[in-house]
Formats: sequence, structure tokens, C-alpha cells
Amino acid sequence: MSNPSQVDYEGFFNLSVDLLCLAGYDGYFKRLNPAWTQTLGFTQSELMARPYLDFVHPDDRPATLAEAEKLGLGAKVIHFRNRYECRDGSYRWLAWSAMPTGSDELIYAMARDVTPEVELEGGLVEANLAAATRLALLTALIDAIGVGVVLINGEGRVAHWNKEANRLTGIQTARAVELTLRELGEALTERVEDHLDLQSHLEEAPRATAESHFPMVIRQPHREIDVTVSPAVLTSDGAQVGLVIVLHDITAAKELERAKDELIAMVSHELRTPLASLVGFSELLLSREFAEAQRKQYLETMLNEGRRLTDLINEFLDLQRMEGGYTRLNLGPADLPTLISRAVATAGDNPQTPIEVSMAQDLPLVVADANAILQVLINLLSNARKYSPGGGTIVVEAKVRDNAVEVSIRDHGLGIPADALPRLFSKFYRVPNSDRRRISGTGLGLAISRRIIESHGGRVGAESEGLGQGSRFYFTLRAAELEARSGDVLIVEDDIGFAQLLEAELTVNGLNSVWAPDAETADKLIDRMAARAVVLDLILPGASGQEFLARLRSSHKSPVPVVVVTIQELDATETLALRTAGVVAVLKKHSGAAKEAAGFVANALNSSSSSGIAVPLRS
Amino acid sequence: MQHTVLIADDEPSVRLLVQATIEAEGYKVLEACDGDEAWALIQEHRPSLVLLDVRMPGRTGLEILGSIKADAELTDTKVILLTASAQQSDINAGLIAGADFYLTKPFSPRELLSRMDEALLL
Repeated sequence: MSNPSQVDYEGFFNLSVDLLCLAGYDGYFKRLNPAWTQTLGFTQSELMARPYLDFVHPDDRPATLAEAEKLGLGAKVIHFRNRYECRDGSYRWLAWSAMPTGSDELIYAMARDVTPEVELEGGLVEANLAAATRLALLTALIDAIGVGVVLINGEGRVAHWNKEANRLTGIQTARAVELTLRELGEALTERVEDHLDLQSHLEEAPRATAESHFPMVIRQPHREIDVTVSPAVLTSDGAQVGLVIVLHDITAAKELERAKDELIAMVSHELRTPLASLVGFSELLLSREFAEAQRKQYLETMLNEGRRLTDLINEFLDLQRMEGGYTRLNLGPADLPTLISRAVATAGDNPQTPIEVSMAQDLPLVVADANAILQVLINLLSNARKYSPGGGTIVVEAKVRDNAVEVSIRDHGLGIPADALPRLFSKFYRVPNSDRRRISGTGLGLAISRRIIESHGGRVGAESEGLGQGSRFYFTLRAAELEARSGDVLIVEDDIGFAQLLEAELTVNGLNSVWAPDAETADKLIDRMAARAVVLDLILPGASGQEFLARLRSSHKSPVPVVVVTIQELDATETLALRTAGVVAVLKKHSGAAKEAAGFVANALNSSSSSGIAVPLRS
Repeated sequence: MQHTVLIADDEPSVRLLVQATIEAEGYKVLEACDGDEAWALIQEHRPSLVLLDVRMPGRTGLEILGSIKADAELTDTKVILLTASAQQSDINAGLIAGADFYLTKPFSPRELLSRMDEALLL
């Protein structure tokens, strides 16, 4: 066996895949092994012909020099990396180990081609950055969505607890993170109803292979939560890496469901009851003989119940239409005293329950749909009468309050107990009363009235000292703000559609207009605005167009041109009367009437200096 | 023997219908328009049969039913619940509470009479 110290290390030098070399302090390679050519592509003579620094990547040269100096200054071994140029122009990363040899003034050095590792590292760094960014985005996403998200890791501990989970359960993220499912269940014990149920669900959760649901009810504040548990699975091999628990707050949805169920039950009950009478009495009368008095009584009951059913259906549909947004309100300036008088007239005379009206002076016009408010007034008056079986005066008041007008209707009847007050305006609600004779009604009147007033932007309410103490119902409406724009045309017309047409046609002619639904409102309006012309309908809800005209003429010194548009067929006398009163044109309501009327108004205003405009009369 | 029947319902037309239906059959009819009145009449007159509306002001039909079942002196009182609800769950609730029968409105006089016969034969 040869002496190991005599082994030909030359062989190893040539075999090595790593780059071995001897370099001088003069900056040149002195000896290179074949690996240099294999790795970089240059021949040995090419490599030794120039200073080795020439082959180093320009960015790495300063560092390389600095490392070489360390050797000169006495360092024993140095390790560093740099890039060397290849024959094809590319660069490869070399990891160096070098040491001086003292006596020869040579450097022994060894380099390993670490290009793949460096690329991998670089790739890894990039991948890590990308992953970190993605994680940050996902976390932000999980926090931003409106459901509670809890992530349970492979060890069964909470890895993520988002903001919404905080809010829903009252348990903060800091407290929740790292809890096991069991500890989580314990933390929730105080806050949930039926915590034993919750605990068992949480315990089963890790074993679930598919998505599962269960409900959870939080106390204080009351919240109903739908909890969904899904296993989190790695797509590559289907292994379960944890759980995803999602908390949906379904409190509102549940309440809506309950309210709907209750409404359906109520409607069902209310509709079936009168139906029961109709069917039952019909059958009885057909199957048996009854005395005349009884027969009549039963037939009357049937009729009343049939009517009640009709009212019920109509009112309920009305309410549904209003709530569904299918009814449009036609808002315009309205005169409350006029509406109140009309409502009182409709209610009729009843000496047992007389109606007194007390109106403040100078009530402003209100913004309202006259017909709708009329409906509310009639409803409230009817209730006041119905619930005063013992008689008593009913007082209607209207006064200004803050920026609104408040109307109140007071009665001295049965009164309302305190616990019924909040529910009064709900659908079908009627105060439970132990009077023998149940007071007739659908239970929808107040609900409809409330709906109407609230659509007007007003408030509605009721007050009572209690049973037997009478009650006071009130509602508010906005006061109409009228800018005294001079040069406006006043339209007095109760047909909203036609009024809108007139408004449009007048605008085409460059004229602004204000609309009054009846003569009384028009009276008030004309005082407050300097109307330059009037378009007048003759048939109006209260006073007629002619009466308005008479009042207008008697109070105004300078004649304002008036155009009459009416469906009435007027005879010569009537037409003459109008002309004498200064009406510029009398038009029949037809499809082109609005345009014609606007034209006449425009003409009249343009040639306003002359009087007695010759305009053909149409009838 | 003449049975006494109590009809408890807040609707006057329902009471009238029941009265019209059963008086001719020879029953003595008592009327109550709310739960409290119904309970008072039950205790005073001990009717053989009670027709109870589920929804009434004062004590509800189910509450009265419970009180009847709990009272030793009223074990022979039969109860028929009148309900406008055709929902099975409501009907079940009533039967579980101890009603002998139920009738959904609208019911015909014939139905009423045959239910009553069945109940009184129990």
C-alpha cells in the first residue's frame, strides 16, 4: 500500500467539479483546474491572459477586491460570493473559499457554482413577499366582509378571528386567538342561550367531513346567528388543515319572517271571521225555517259582515299598495280649513257627538295631497264617533307648531289604555275592550292614516289619560313655503293630470305657475303671490270657479287675465257672464286644451296694455 | 237532559251564528265575549261543553283550556277550540293542550253540530 502522503493530489485537482485555482497578489490566475473551462467556457489560457478581476461582474468587483485585501492583511480564510462572466456573456454565481499560502505569495482558492441556489433563493424571497402580500390582502378582505369569520388551524386552535366575529360575539380577537374549540365554547357560555347545544356542536365540528349548519342565539344584545362550519382542505391531497367557521347575523331576517307570519295569521283570521258568518248563516237559512224576526236579524248580520269583508279587503290592498310604493301622492299646496270642513260635512250631523272646529288664524297653506289628507281626517273623525258610544263633543283643532301645522281631533269617549298606545297604528290592531258590542271596523284605518301622513313627511300620534278618559289624535303637515314670485300664473284645477299638463305648456311659453286644487286654496294663494294670470276650472270641490272669479274681481283693482277651461257645456248667458267678468277665453277641456290655454295666457300677457282682447270664444 | 253550552268568542256574529245553530237543538246557550267573562261563566255554570275561540281579549282560549284541565271539578267539561288558523302547528298546539276537538272557521252549522255530538258522546 502506497504512503498516503505520496498520493497524487494532482488527480483530485483535475477531477474536481468545483473550480480550484492558485492566484497571485498581482491579480492574475496562476493555475486553474479543468472545472474552470467546464463551468465558464473560457479556455485556461484566456482566463490567465487577463487579470481575474476582468471576469468578475462589474458590480461585484469592489467587494472582490476588498475580500482579497483581507487576505493580504492577514486573514486566515475568507468566504464570499461573486459573479463570473461566461464565454457566452452570461454570469454565474461562485461561492469562494480562499486562503493565503504565506511563503509562495499565492492564494489558494476554491469556488463552487451556486447559480441554481441563488436563483432559488431569489425566487424564494420573491415568493415569500408575494405570499405575505397575499396574506395581508386576504386578512383585510376577511375583516371587511360583513360576516364573522373564524379560522381553526390543524391543532384545533383559533388562528383567525375577524372584526365581525368580535362584534357578533362580544369576544375580542386578542382573547379568542389560540383558544381551542372547547375553550371557545366555554368563553361563549355566558353569552349564548342553550350553551350546551353550542358546546356539542363545537365538539363535533372537527369531525365533520362536509359543511354543517347550526343556530346560535346571543344574549344582550339579542342576536340570532347562523353558524356554518366547513372543513378547510388542501386541494392537492385532500388533507384537512383546519376549519372555517362563518357567522351570519340573521336577526333582522328572522324578525321580518316572524312579522310576516304574524301578519298572515292576522289577515287570515280577520278574513275568515266574516266569511264564517256568511257561510254559516246561509246554510242555516237554507236548512231550516226561522221566525221572520230572526230571519231578518240573520240576513242583516250577513249583509254587515259581507260589507265588512269588502272594506277589509279594499283597505288591506290599499295599505299594501301604499307600502309597496305603487301609490303616488299628488302633493300641492292645500288649505287645511277647507279640507277639515269637507271632512266634517262628510261625517255628518250626530247630535250625540257634535263636532266643533277651532282653527288658528292665519294658518299657512300646507304641502299635501288633498284627497289623501281628507281620507285621514274622515278616518279620525269616524273613529272619534265610533269610540264615543256614550256621546260627547268631538273637537278638531289646527294650529302652527314649529315649522309645521298640527291638526288634532279630541273625543270624550272610551279612551286608550297606556299599553295599547304604542300599538295603535299597527295593522289590524284594535284595543281589546270588554264591551258587549264589539265596535265595528277593520282595524286598518289608523295604519292607513299613518302611512299617508308619513309619506307626507309628517308625524302622527295619539294621547289618552286612560280608559274612560277620551283621547286625542294628532298629525302634522309641512307648511307650504311660497316664494312671492311675481309673474306667476295661478292654476285653479282639481284634476292633477290636467294641472300638470297646464304647468308644462305654460313653461314652454316661458311662464312659471303655481297650482291650487280648489278655490279656497286659490284665494289664499292669490293674496300671497302677484299672479299675472289665472287658468280656472269651473267645477271645483268647494266653491265653484265662478265664485272664485267673483271674489277675484271684487278684490283686485287691475284686472288679471283669466282663461277658463271647463268640461261644462255653457250656454250663452253663462258664457257672457264670464266674459263680462273679464275672462279672456273660455275653452272646453279636450286633448289640446292645455296648449291652447297656455297660448291664450301668453298672448294676453304680451299684449297686456290693451284691454278687450278679441279672442274667439270656443265652446 | 239539557246540556248547557258556552260560546266564547269576541265576534258578535260568531256568537249569533252559534246560538242560532244550537238553540233549536235544545241546548241552553251561554255567551261570553272575552276570556275573563268566559272563565267566570264556566266556573259559575259548569257547562257541559265550551266552544272557545283561540284569539280573544283577556285570557286566551289556550289559557282557559289549561285552567279547565287543571280544575278537578271541570273534568267532565268538553272543549272545542274555534280557530281561524288552518296551520297544522296551531291545531296541534291546541290538541296537545287538551282540546277535545277543533273547528276551523269558517265552519258550517252542520259541522258544528256533528262535532258537538261527538264531543258530548265522549
